[in-house]
Amino acid sequence: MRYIDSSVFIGAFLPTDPNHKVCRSVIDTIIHDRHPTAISVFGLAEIGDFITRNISEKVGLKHVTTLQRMENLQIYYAEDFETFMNSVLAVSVSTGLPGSDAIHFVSAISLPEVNEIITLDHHFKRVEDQIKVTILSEGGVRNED
Amino acid sequence: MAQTVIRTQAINLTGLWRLKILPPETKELLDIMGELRRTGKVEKDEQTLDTLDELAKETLGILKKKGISLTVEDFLKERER
Repeated sequence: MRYIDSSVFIGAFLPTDPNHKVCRSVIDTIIHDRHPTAISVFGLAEIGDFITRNISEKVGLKHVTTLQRMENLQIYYAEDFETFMNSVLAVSVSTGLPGSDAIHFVSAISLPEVNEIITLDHHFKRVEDQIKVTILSEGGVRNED
Repeated sequence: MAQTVIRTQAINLTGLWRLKILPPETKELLDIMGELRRTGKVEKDEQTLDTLDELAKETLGILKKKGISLTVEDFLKERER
């Protein structure tokens, strides 16, 4: 199963982004090819806040509810917030991964089925020795492992 | 020695609603979250790609009106801060 970083969904939502096509093709693949994928509830919050602040509240809400109802996309919720955040803190300090990226990384590795992170964020190279990291780019994908 | 850790229940959606932190427009979002909390699932939309196409058009219209070109780079810069 693949964990999709918020940056990929935002790229798919923004027609003005140079990576729009490649991000949109990831979404199309998830739906058409029935690829099981995961996002964290924190990722939905990141997407919602960015779109609401920069586009409009109505569009931000619609994007988030569309993702909640999207086929083959599962939403990760941590059961024990204290354990989860302690892991995020430890990962951030030990790898130098920014705090929000560490939330995504800990979410991804908490799910045993997840074996790959798809992202546009190069910070995830810091954990490529732990999990397969695929960084999308205008021309397609670049595997980091 | 002074207590270092504070533990408390997080405010829930009902509390946020009562405090009027959430506007009426968020009702669908709250309904979905309530459903996810109760059952762990929600009715899937088979027209997601059509919805995304419509949202892309709306987004483009708003961006043109605002005269800005928003990209993932802007998102990543904000996230890094």
